[in-house]
Amino acid sequence: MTRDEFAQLALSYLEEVTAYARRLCRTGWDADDLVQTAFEQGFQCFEDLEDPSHCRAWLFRITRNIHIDRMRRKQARPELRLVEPTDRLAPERVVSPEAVERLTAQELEAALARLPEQQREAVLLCDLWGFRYAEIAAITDVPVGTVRSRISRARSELARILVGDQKTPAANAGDKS
Amino acid sequence: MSCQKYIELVSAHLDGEATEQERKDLEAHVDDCADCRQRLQAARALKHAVAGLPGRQAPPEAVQARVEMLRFRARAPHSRRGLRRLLVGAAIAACLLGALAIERGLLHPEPRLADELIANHMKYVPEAMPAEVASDNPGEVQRFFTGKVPFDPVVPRLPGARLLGGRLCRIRGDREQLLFYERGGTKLSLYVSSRQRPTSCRAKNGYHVCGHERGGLSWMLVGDVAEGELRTLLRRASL
Repeated sequence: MTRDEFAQLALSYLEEVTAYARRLCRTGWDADDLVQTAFEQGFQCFEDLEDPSHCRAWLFRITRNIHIDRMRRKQARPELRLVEPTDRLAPERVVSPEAVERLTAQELEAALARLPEQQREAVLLCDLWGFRYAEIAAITDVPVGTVRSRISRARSELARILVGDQKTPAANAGDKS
Repeated sequence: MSCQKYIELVSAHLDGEATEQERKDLEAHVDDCADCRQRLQAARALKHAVAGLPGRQAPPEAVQARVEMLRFRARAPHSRRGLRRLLVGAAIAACLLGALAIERGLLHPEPRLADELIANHMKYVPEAMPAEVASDNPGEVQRFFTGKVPFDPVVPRLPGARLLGGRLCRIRGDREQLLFYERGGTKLSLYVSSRQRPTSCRAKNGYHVCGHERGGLSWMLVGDVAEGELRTLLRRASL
């Protein structure tokens, strides 16, 4: 792939990477800096990208890795929770599809914000950006089975939040900040 | 409790990630279990709702311009951190200068605007990004822009130039028309904006950009042709 071909492809994902960075970072400045650094790094090592069809996931992975490196240098801010709060599936409440359909974007964002970081990340990569489990595994550097569990747990947790049960261990862990 | 093992399957099934056997098991279970039927419907609605959130966000113009310029930059000898600082500093400076310029309504030649327009021209003209409307029919191209830009769109005729099409673009937060032309084997880009722009000319890397005002709109013509030629094209353009 030539530099121009990479540029054409990579720049078509700029707005998605920006939206992703905005969700990773606390401030717009941090997010903008993250986007610039990620693309700079992408342009520096695009020759390592063997399959152009992986470019989008590759840029997301670069963005995420830079973000994590920075957070580590800042001694892991509290909003970045890298430890799964629980490995077991807590009993789930069944939420009605009608209740979900009535949700406003703000209510949904508020519910997502209460998920543990890794669950929120997995479900957003899957549902918002449409990545396959294998791609999410590559972006987040975990096995596919873990991705599958995280997404399932995220949806269960969201259902629990939406029916108003905030007393389970997983939900409480997701609230810590 | 027997539903517990199907919860993860519901999720994987919705994402098209369940195996054939898992899908069959789940379907058999859902036929007999009202809770899991509802769980499946709710999870589907939830997936749909999350998919409806904004997954794209335009970066600030300064960031966009800097990222787009990376394609033209050879591998930098700076350290990554040094280059990043340079980029961030330049972006911040561009933002501050842009904000100042807008606030004060400055109309003297804006080198950064010219650079941005030329960079855009270099990006689009090699057909790296195709036109959103490809037509030599001015009426058709004009219809494409109607309602997409905050002014009545225009598609000028440039003497001796053939209209190729256009695309919507965003310059410093404003939605503008970007029209493509070909003249004697050379591609030209014409930006039409309701924002006041400089009417002077500027050169960079062999390209020129010249501004012109007509009917309350600003036209900025870009191409690797002489400044005088761009000025003549703008002056003789007809609507």
